[in-house]
Amino acid sequence: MSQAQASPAWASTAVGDLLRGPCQDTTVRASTKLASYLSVPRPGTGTDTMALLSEEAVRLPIGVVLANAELPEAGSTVVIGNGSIASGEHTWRPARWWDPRPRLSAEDLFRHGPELLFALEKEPYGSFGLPLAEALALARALADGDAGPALGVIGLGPGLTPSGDDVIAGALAVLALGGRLESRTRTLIAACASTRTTALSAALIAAASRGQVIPQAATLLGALAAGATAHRLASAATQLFCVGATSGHDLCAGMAGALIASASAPARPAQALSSP
Amino acid sequence: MSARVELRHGIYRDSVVLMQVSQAVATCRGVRAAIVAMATPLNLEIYERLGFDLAAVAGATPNDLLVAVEGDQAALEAASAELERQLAPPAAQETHGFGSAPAPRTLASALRHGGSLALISVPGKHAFVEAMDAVQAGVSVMLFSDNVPLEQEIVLKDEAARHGALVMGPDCGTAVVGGLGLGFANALCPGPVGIVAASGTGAQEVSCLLDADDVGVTAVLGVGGRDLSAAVGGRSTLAAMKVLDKHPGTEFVVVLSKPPDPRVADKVRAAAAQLKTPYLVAFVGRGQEDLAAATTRILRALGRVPTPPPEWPAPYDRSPRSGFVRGLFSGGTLCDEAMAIAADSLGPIASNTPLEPTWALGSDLCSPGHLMIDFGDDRLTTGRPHPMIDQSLRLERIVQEAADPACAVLLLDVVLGHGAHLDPAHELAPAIESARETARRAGRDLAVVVSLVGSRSDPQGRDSTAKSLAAAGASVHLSNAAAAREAVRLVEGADR
Amino acid sequence: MIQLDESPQVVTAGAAMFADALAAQMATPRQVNWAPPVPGSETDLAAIAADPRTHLATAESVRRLVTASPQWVDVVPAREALGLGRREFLHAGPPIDWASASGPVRGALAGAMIYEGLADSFEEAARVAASGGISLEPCHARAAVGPMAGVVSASMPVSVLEDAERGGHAYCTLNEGLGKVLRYGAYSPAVIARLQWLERVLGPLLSTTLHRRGPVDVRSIIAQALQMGDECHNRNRAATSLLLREITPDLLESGARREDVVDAFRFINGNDHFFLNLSMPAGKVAADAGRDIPGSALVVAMARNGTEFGIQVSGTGNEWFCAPAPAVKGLYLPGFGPEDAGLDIGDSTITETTGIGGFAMAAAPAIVLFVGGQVSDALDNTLRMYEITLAEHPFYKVPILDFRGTPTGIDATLVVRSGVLPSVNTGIAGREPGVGQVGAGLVVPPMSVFVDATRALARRAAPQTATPAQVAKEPA
Repeated sequence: MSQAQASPAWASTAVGDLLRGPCQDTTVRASTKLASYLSVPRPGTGTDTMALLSEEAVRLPIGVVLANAELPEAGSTVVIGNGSIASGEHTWRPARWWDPRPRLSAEDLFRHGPELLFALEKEPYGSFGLPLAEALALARALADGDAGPALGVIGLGPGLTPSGDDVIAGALAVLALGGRLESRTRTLIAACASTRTTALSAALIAAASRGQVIPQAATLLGALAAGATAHRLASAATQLFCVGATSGHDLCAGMAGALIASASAPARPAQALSSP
Repeated sequence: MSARVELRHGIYRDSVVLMQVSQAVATCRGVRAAIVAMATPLNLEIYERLGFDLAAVAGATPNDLLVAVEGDQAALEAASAELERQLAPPAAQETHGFGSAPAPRTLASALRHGGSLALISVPGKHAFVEAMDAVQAGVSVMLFSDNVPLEQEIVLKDEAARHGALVMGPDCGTAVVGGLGLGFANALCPGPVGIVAASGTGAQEVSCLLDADDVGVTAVLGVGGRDLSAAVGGRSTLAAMKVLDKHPGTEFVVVLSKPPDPRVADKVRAAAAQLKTPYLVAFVGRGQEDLAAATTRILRALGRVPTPPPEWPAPYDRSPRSGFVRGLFSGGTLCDEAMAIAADSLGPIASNTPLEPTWALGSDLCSPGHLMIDFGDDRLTTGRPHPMIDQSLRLERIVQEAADPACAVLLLDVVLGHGAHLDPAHELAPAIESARETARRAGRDLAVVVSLVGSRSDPQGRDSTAKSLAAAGASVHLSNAAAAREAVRLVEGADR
Repeated sequence: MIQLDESPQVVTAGAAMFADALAAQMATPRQVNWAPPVPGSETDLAAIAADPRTHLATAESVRRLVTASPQWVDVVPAREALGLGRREFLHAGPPIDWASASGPVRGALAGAMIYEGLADSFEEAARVAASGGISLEPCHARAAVGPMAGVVSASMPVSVLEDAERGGHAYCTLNEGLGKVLRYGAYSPAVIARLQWLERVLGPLLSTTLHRRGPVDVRSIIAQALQMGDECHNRNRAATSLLLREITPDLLESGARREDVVDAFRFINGNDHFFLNLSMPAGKVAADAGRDIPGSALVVAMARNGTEFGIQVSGTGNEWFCAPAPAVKGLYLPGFGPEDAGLDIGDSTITETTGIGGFAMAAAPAIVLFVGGQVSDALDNTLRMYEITLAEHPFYKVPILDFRGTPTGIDATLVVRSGVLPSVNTGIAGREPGVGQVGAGLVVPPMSVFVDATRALARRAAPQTATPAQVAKEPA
């Protein structure tokens, strides 16, 4: 069997099981110029979302970047599994992988965490989808185990990933990476997201609760944990701010809020979500 | 029949490209002989042997491109057209507005526009200057080039240390950094193991065995074939170990090499003992544990449950038969490991890279008894592509061994991954079938054992390659040690 | 140190298969279009790369070159400024003697000797010169530069330029104009008369003007002229106009006779290359600032005397590296052809040495009308020069390249490694003395001079390459 006809792809390890598992049909639920979103049936009930990305798209943690791609259109069928992605005449096989969960020391992250606020404070009001103060408060609440404010904003707002959802994702990611995400919080958010927001946003929130983020966020968190200079932090933050219309800012706000709250509070012993 | 000979100046292509061009021209219909190569003394010899007139190229220098074609008139025209097509310059790279910027001619120039890793494979005597450009800009280097003078390697590594850069090489063929395979490298998932390797295929073996158990790497940092010599003292090895130790994502550090100079070995072990990260130092050779066993220890240290490495058994009769093991390898460390395992049970194993000097093969590479050849050794790769890319030498040898009644077991490695041949099974499977058929007609059951180095994501398809070779009659093993032991089992105990 | 968590931005040099393997992983690298350096030079290049002084020394000498700030401060007789005796003559290019000198140089020397009263005719001058009656030295040896034959004698007025940054000086005669002039080897009575007018009228007039006004910022004029279509070697029209604007009020108020002032205006106005004799010493000031730093591979002089092309390098002091002067490829004025052309001549390549002239051709696309080629060639020329230079000039910017600084500071080792030779725009002089300019074109120095310079640098390289004793030593 010649493998030569396939084009390369660059895949997130988060979708490794789906790609290596048995072949299955999936449907493209939505597509933009930069990405097509697949609905993948999960054994039992429910579906997972996987993103097929063009090379210019933001590398979502649930995504696979396809080389030379004409992305499949909404409604079409894509076969995934057995190490490949097939759509019409075209097949892709991952030649390269990335891990969307950054490897860093939780202790270092929380120690330097509050520095992230400096990068946010200079940003203009209009860059945020959810006002900064509200975002910080929401994130702090989550860090304290109170999902109430978060549940109140899930799914509200335009776009494939509403602003409130981005803030929640930022906060959840930080808590997950720090081993401080209570499973109760996670479950509540997931349940709410499954009915009240887009499938894509729900999938990204789920990924965040496993500590899986976009590369720009991973680089920023890595820099924070490594004790980078203010200049380098600002530069990494700028890269994140370029993502989406307000997504980058909202994500960052969620991360910052959770970091500030966690910096002062000690880790709670019970119910912490341990690293996979 | 006439010949057209010319020397061209100002054209330079690397030797691998020129071999492809030469072949493309030579296979034009009606061409009796052709050579397209830089006019080095070696190539001028080949030119002469092909029947061309040396006087026609008097005064040629190695910087001239030698083009010689012999054939009828139509063939010469076709060859000429093919040559021009092959030599057409690549499209200019960066275009901005008015006209395109010319491609940089030196690494110094290229790095002014950014870059965080330089991959250098220019001829060895020119490599130092390019590599210095990189390290002085604080950019780490993978240096594939070999034949770099020892003093230059030392100066380069000291300068790199001063600028906070890592030198992977010289003579480094494998690295994986940031999820990207450099040189001959397998497609690996990111994970907790950091590998420092003086041996490329050793690192490939370990990383593929880890991959089979779903464990990835943070990086594979090659250090080159001479880093652990007494003179170089492990400069890059020690630096690489520190990098991995500092890296938060690295939970385990592995150092892989052939047994080095004893004092350097001690230095490496002492440095490893200072690491905060758990580690394993594996010097592969006689009396040492094999790479599969080392991998099992790594997995246990990470808290994983190791599973036996995948195998694809063959349909042949597995009882021992009389005769000898003939190993044909492309990876030096794989050959070394197989020889070490085999020698323990079978005694002397003749080789071009023997474990004992008295076991050395002559230049005809033949021996009546057990033998294992490393086709990737420098002396067998002068002027030809590496066996991981071009299997012709091994395929010829398979035919030869199939006809030899003394050959009971053929042991082969097949190394997959980026940079390697895109479909080795395509040529190898028929060759194995044919070899077994030749033996069967002479009343022998030739066993073929394959050591497969491959990851689940390799472009050639690990499992499809294995199945294809198994269908041709080989038993395929992901563990090189297991393959070697299978080969030994197939001859041990039988009457010689 | 090597980053493990981010995808590396890879740059490859060597076999294409490595770039191909990366492309198959969706990580197409930037590729160096690598080719081996000049055969035989690799040992020297390695020795220089291994010399721990090279990197910093070269960087420092370039820094001094590009930060130099040449100012026109005075005009004084050469005997004062350069200490020239009556029988001492300077010429363009590397050292030469009468016997080997080309037609234009001989004509210019004869003319200067007649001007100084050492001879009455060409023949007499030739006799005196051939019998050792005069001494010859390169302009460069006295911190001076001269266009074409570049002959300087004691009585000639020379512009004095000063580096406001580091205090160095450089000198150059006043440009005589076009046509039959001394620098093209003419020596007729009209030529002599003009030289006398320069000495008695224009020189002192400019001196007075400068004393009144204060120094003229030559660097600033060059920077502006580059954005007006000049490259300040073969095109100086805008620069000459800007210069005239700078000095007009003080020239008018100099107190000199009205006819002299009018003659001065007419003279400068009628000579589009008047500014060349300021852009050249401006280059000399900058290049000399970068001289004499041990280990530096920076080229500090490129010069021709009509017989040989020579270069000097910072790390090898006053040593000249020479080879036979090349012929210039270009366009000829009506009535002339290649058979009339002399070989490449003049110190004006000091402009290319310091980031203008041919290196700034992209700023002066109209020049292709004189030197040949198309506008795209002008752009390509400048772009190619970035391969062999170390800096982008902080003051001399090229508008069409998005105001990128001109490629400045030639590294002799980069020339040998890349095979790219400095590209020079130049005038073509007539082969016979006195003919004048016959055309203009492009020329490149012979590669051998850079190879020789590299060899000399390598021989002086500090012995820091690992010796056998060091090789045996344990690393720290």
